[in-house]
Amino acid sequence: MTWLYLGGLLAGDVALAVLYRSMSRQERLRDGAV
Amino acid sequence: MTHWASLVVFAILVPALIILWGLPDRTADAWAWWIVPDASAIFLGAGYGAGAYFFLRTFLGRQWHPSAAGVLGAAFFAGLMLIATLIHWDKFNHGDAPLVGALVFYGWVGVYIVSPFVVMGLWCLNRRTDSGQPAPSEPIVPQRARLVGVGALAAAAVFLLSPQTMIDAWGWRLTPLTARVIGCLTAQVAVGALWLSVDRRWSAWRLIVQTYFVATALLLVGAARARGTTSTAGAR
Repeated sequence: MTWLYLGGLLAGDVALAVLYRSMSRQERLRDGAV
Repeated sequence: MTHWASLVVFAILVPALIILWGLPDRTADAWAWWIVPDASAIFLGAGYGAGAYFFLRTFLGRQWHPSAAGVLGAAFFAGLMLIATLIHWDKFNHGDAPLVGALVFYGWVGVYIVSPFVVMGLWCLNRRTDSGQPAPSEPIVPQRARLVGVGALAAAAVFLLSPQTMIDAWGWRLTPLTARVIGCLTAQVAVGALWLSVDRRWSAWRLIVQTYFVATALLLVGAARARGTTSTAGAR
């Protein structure tokens, strides 16, 4: 169960890292930095 | 008011981080109850560390809505911790401990009597100031990213309502109190995520996502440190 819980946390980390990268890129595009 | 309240919460959370995450083997003398094994103390300390980051950023921030989901989650966390404290009242040191442990006990009781109502009150007051509308050309969080939290809510429900289920299945020794504390932390994540599920603005998500990164980093580093320290003597 512990590994399932920690695995869920890590899966959340990966998903949120992908989201963060995507949103940050959109912000840079909006601001004309890319 | 929210500005300075955030600083007060930050100041409360930093010592909790230092004791629980930094000195997890000292809880018998320096915490409100003796937490064994170290992994349980580190788990709670990681949550408080992430909270310290969140409230420092809220103190330094100029807008309310980036902090809204986190403050709502913190209000639920504090309310659930008050309930857990009352259920497991006999596990606390009641001030019968060295100075630091006694101070932490009285601080714990005071904080969890007051904070559920104050934090929820701050959230309600500030909510009126947020239109909920995205700024022009603001990045919008895609629909598929809004599902974070449903799993956390289910896990939190098991921890809180049937701690013995988690005690039987967990990788290190839990007690009913430490199982419910993990449930409170999990419920906090769930509440914040569910609130964000109806907010499309990336500016409302960013700080919460950063706080999640801080929490999991502290948790994973702490879990690595705690490997092999599974003594259960005196567990409460």
